Amino acid sequence: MDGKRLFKFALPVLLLLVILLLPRPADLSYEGQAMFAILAFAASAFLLQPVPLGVTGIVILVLPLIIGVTDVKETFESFGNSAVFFLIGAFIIAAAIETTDIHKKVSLHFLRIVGRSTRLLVLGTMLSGATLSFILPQHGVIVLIVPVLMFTIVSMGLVPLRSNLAKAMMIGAAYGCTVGSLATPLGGARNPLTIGFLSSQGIKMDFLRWMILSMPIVILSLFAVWVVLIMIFPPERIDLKMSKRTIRQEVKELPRLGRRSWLIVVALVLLIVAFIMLPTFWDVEIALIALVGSIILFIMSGMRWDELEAKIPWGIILLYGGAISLGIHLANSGAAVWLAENILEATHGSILISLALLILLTKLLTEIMSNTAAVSILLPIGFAVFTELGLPPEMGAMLVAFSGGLAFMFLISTPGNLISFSSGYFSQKDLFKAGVLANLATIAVILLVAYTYWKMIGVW
Amino acid sequence: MFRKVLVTVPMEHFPEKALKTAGELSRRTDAKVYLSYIIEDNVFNEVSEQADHVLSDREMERFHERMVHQHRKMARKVLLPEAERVMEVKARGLSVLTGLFSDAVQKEVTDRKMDLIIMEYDTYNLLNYRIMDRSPVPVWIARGGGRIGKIGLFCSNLAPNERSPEVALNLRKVFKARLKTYYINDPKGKMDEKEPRELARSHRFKWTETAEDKVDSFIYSKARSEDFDLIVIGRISKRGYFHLRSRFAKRTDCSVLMIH
Repeated sequence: MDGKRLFKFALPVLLLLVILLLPRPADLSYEGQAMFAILAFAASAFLLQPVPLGVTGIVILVLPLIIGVTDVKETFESFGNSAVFFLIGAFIIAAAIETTDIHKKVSLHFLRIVGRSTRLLVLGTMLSGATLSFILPQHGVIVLIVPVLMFTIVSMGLVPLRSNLAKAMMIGAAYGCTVGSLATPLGGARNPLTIGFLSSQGIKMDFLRWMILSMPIVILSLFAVWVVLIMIFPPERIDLKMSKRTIRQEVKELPRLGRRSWLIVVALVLLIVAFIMLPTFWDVEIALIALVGSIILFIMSGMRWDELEAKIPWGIILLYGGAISLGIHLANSGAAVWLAENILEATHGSILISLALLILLTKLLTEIMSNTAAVSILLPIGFAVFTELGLPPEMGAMLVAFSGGLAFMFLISTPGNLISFSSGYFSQKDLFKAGVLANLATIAVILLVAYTYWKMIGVW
Repeated sequence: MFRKVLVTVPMEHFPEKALKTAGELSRRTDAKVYLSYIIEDNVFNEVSEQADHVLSDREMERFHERMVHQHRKMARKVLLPEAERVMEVKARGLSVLTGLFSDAVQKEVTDRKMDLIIMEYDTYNLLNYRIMDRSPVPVWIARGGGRIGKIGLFCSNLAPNERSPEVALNLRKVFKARLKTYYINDPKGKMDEKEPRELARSHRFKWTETAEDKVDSFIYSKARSEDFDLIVIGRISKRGYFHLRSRFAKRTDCSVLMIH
């Protein structure tokens, strides 16, 4: 084991032990202090990744039991949270949709429809990624659309690392998926994580309610990020006739949707309607809808089990299990409330400063570690801060969930950035430049929406 | 001097200066320019590592296959014409390589018997530049626009100095450039008073300056104060030399030709 790897293993363990052995403040319980130690362990392990994140998830799941914070029943119950099954359902749905190749059609149609100017081409790219991320996990979307987009960009003759239009389109695809993934619980694992955490605290967050809260943020952020991209990378003039011809040709060459694909699309639409209507009017659990829908789509897609098995990233489910357990135990041990009280003392109870601090902290963490990991660390803290402020705690949790999804600046911020980067059309410096401004723009959007629209619709 | 010149085009960096340098060299000599586009494994390894928990292995494999296919197409359809436009000369060939940057380039140089590598150095990417250390042929790290008006030759008691004077003198003729020559006796090596005299006599030139100093700090300060367009240095055998070479590439504003 080399020195670097040893450091990656040693630091989380060291932090765990040091915090456990520190003298305990009088107003903090042993369970609270132990959870802070586990939190420090988790944060450093998420950041340094000495082992795959799924393995870290398992360690975080069992650590509270080993240290004596929880009992066996409580430990493993958190993994059985309904949101875990929602996540599994969402992955099966995504795998079934992928068999139809509909992602290609959606991407190219967006480019064809809006491709009247180079600026609108960038918007089209963002919209195609965003729209698909409403119903599919964002990383699954970006990995599907980047090759399609690269084919289009190559056909247009745009030169890697020199064409501003190509830079804006490629970065736009990643950012579009990132922003779009906030829209519904299907967009990213951190969304069901938030729903699961809220449900563990006795708060119900259904599909429609989620969309009512998220949509203004998504729409305004897409617009703001688009403006940022065309400002930083003003697209060069190109012969749009040629690009339109290329895209039209590509659309023509796509195979027609077969009967089975059409049936899957219809079933998907019905499933989305079910997600919106059933929990709202008949109090049906969204995990149940996801699982039933996924079984129907799986049968319709004609996939074999081994094909499906190979398409599901099991690591995220393990990470998820650990993450949700971390959130629940931080809240139940009193650690989150203790931290919230101290934060509020520092901010003198100011709503705006607390709100901004929470968003900034979440943004900072999500830029350097997995979105799901960052959200799992801050969910209980955001929840507790808002409880202490006398505001609805769900608002704190949702702010963390939304800010935690928006990672723009680095390749390590989210796999989507790296996937798009592998096209070779933009550099790390380009991503950083665009990411800094995109972060500022989306922080402003979240603050604005939370402060005005959420107040208007009675969230607080 | 250099008949077959390889310009490396990594997927993370468009080497405009390297291409201009190769074009200039090709127009002034009979050098034939070959291009190698490297689809860097490090990038896709990094993708696999980062996306490990959100994408399945099957998804990653399919993505990798699709992207390599698109990169190959892009290299032939877009990159080659653009590179030729920048160089203002026709390339003799374009090879699309996959693998780690340094390994792929080293294999290409050996297989196709190249005489010189022209490349750029950029700290903000995922490439490793072991090729600077391992290359069996000279490596030219390009800075500036390809015009060479002033050349600095640096020989020392830490380098064999077999080829560098000859290369520098040839480049002076080719580019009709001014040449300044330095011999440095580094305290880390054995003092050598005979070699500078013999080098000057056999290659028929006079040293601009002979000095006793640390070879790296001497080269940095001269490169800065003399405002060279190109410095020619030999294979200096000093501990930590790989880092020294990376530092030359990073810290000097002029092009660096490392003679191996």
